[in-house]
Amino acid sequence: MAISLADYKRSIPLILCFIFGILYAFEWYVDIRVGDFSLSYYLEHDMLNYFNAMYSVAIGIGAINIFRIHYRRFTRRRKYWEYSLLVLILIPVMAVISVFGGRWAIDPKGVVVPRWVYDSLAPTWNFLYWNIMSLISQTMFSLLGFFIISAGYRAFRARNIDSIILLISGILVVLGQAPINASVWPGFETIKNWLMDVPNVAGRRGILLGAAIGALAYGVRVIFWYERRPTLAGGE
Amino acid sequence: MHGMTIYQLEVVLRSGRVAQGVLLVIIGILTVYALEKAKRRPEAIKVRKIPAIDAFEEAVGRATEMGRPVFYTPGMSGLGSLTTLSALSILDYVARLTARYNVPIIVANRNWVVYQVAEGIVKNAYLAEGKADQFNPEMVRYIASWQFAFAAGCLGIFFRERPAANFYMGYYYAESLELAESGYRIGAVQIAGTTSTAQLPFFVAACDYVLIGEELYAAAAFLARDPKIVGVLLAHDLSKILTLAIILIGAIAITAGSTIILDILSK
Repeated sequence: MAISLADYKRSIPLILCFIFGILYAFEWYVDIRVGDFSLSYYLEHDMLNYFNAMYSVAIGIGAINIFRIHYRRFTRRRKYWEYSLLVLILIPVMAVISVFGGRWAIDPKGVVVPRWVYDSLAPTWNFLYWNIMSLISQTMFSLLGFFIISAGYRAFRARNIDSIILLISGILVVLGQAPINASVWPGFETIKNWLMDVPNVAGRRGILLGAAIGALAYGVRVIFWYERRPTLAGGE
Repeated sequence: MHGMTIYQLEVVLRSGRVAQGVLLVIIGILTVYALEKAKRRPEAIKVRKIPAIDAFEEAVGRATEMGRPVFYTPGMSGLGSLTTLSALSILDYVARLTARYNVPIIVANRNWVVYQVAEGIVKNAYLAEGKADQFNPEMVRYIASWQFAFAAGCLGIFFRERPAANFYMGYYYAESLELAESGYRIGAVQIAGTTSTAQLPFFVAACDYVLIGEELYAAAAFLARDPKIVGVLLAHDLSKILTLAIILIGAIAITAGSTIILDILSK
């Protein structure tokens, strides 16, 4: 009976999942050594280097997706096409500057690429990275403060007994955390510590324990071919 | 004559992991037992209702009525994380729903390898629903690997394309609240699922439904609508009973002054 390409596409990921799943689970508990060879060392270092190399190459496909989407948006003059044009210009510009003048430039000592290339691009990279990218990232992070206030306002509305308990606990933790708490009443800190160390830790551990068992069972499903969706091998 | 080196094969148990390994084998056997039981007698598995799972179809239906897209993100981690794999399993279900209801889906990815798998899953889902012609490569997007660049990209999608249903599945960091709060502002129905205990409170505060911890894995199994896979929920419960029994016996033993359970577990 002839085996089609679709059969191979379906079975190869499943076989690889099984082999590597069992191998990596096995080496966590048992090491096999023959002379200088160690199975654990091989899997944790040499094999991971292969994976990392494949992983790095795959970034190109992500970049192609960004270009495809924004190129279409720009050429078809869809709404907000101006932003797409900016993306199309800035990504290659930043990529070239990073490769030749960035912190991890390919040849900063000028062995192959003339040294003046690095010297002239490095200040531009520094400006773009530290004065634009880094600041935008910090701005996004600092926005969290405002989001916490608006989400906290809704979460702490006393609608039922659960939310009243949450509201009281929240107020006590905020009071315990505030720098002024010791001068108002030292007991706030004791209450805050108890809330954080006892009910909070108990709840977190319960969730983590359940999640760890769920992950373990999910891993078994993937290795033994019950769960096929993430391997793109079909659900049946 | 040349000398010949004879190598000796050594099998070394890695210390401190033996008890872990035994527990893994026991939980593995319980899982396979539960899956086989579900295959033979699916009616024997009774599943507790989780409101967030019931809300999936409702959320996609709402997006259909409003003529607005569905937004889905499989989280911040890579393919090495089981949380991400679980989120991809759930994506299969959501993509099938969007294909069935003829509503566009936008899948935003932070990791370029996850992006490729997500694209394959969405394509397969449209194919399975007989809507291959409606699949558009622009549905699955790689946004950026930098955490806040990804968050900014998602926020841009929210305010430009105004999805009516947002799904945040997988592992998240500080951007969780930015996504969930912005989604709330555009009036989307929001369903989140994560195992990150640090981000769960943010999702609970800002989303309509949340899959907490193991419920994410349970949802991945339940939404497969395959009795074989649903059997894994029984394995979760059996494993939890086993773990709780060990914790209880350990606590009693420690209280009585014995470290026997501690000694066994640290072998």
